[in-house]
Amino acid sequence: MPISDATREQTDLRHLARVQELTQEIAGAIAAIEQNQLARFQESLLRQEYLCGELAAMRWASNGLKDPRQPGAGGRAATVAEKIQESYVALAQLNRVYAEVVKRSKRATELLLAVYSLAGVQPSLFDNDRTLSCEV
Amino acid sequence: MGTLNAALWIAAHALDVDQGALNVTSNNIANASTPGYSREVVNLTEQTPIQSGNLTFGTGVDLKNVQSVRDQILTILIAQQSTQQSGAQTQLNAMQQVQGLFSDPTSGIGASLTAFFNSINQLSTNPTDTAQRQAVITAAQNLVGSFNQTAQTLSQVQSSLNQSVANSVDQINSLTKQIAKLNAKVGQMQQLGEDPGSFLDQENQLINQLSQLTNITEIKTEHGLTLTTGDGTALVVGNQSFDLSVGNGANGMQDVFAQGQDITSTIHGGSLGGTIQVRDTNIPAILSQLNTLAGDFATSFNAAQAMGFDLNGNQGQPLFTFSAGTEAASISLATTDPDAIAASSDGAPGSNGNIVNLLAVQSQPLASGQTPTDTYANIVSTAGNMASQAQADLTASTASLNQLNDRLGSISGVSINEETANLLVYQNAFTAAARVFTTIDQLTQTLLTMGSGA
Repeated sequence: MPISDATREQTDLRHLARVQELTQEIAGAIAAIEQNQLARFQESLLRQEYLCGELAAMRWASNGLKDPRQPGAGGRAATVAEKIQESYVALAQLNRVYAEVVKRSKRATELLLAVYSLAGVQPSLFDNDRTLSCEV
Repeated sequence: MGTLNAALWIAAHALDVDQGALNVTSNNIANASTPGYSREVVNLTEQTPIQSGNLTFGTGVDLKNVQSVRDQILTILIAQQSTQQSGAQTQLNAMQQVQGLFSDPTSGIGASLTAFFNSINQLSTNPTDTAQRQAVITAAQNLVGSFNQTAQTLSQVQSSLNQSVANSVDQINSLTKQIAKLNAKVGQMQQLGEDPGSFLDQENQLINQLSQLTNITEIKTEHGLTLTTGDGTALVVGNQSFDLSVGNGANGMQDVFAQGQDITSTIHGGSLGGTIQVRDTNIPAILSQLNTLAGDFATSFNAAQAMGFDLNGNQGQPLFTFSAGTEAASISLATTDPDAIAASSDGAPGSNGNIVNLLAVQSQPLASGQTPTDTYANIVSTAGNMASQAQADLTASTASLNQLNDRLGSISGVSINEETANLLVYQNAFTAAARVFTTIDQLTQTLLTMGSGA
């Protein structure tokens, strides 16, 4: 069944909003990792998964995306399509950073876990129950 | 000793202990803003109780020692991330200079190529017009000038990076000497049973500075600290340091040597690693693509010239000349005579029959398999990708470094169980995150392809 221009535009606008939300979530997740805010990171992850699911389901609806470089793609629809593409480029770039941050943090976590979980091997900080912290 | 005297002794002794603890506290406060300072803690031990018949009397606590709080694993991870961050920053700085050569679509090789073919197109309307022919020669001069200028600037960036290698090696040698001296002091204090906290702090600071210069491996044993380069070459062993040196490498650049061995290729990360990466890999890759473009373009255009005749009815002669291996830097005009443009296909002065062959060079694949415009677009893309990758590495390593520093700064008061539990939750979250960024990667690929391919 053919889709009207108005419906397509609405779908594309919703698509655009979701991509931008996901980009913000990824930026927030990177900041949460950076600041060791585990709860914030977990909440963000849930929203990321939800938004990814939504975007994946929207793929067919957005099949009418026009290439903004092609002639005749001018007007309102071309602008939205262009914005969607720009947002995806920004998302792809940020996702590259996200993947790197997660990869590195995961490795650091695994190393720390390996050290902490080894029987009898604990960081020097924890090796004396009678340690008194003098930090004010 | 369960008497008043004993109680007074315990109280007096406890005051001594408190005084020691207060000294440590005030030292912590005084150094709160000192970079690299590790918080000190007081270790108290219970004094040996006294048995009197069936009774046991406690005798208070004693100040066993003062110990700096440090987490060796985190410190090592921080040093590693510093290496990554510093290397990425160096690469980004250099690649931004390189990218600047290709980023302006209104100037440079891309614009000169377009202007050159436009001038040939103009010539087709009046092939005997000297002004039009001169315009082609001028556009050709601009084009070879753009190639020469770009190659020269790339070589300048490469040369500037090359000069900084010796400077970095000097800094490394200076730092390893200082670390070796501190190592000796640390060893002496440990032998006396004293806490070498402040020396260890200084040592960590220096190691951190060293890791910003190059990748190092840190091994701490009871015999002291050993620092090696990425390939295991010793830099510091206990109280002894081993200098690196620079010398001419096979490619004419300054290479890094350790005890006579060229270790340049094993240096990764840090500003020295970043410098070597851009100098020996990134810039040569771009220069190679540029040379291929200049050489293939000149060869292809000269071949099109040979298919036609100049204004005097002679067979077309090469317009461009270059030296193999340095095509972009050496490309120049074989002639500046406007009559030499082989516009004619039959030797008649008014013919423009060969212009179609001259113009075809723009749209037909060169020997490399791509048109000149596409080849140039690839070079622009390569430079852009290298800069983007460095930017992504820098952002990621900075985030990781902040995270690790934050964790190091907050380790006091955290129980090992809580820390381990948190790490497990983090690990699960990171696994989930890996699924998310893989999904996003697929989504972006699909949508970006869909947009351009529709």
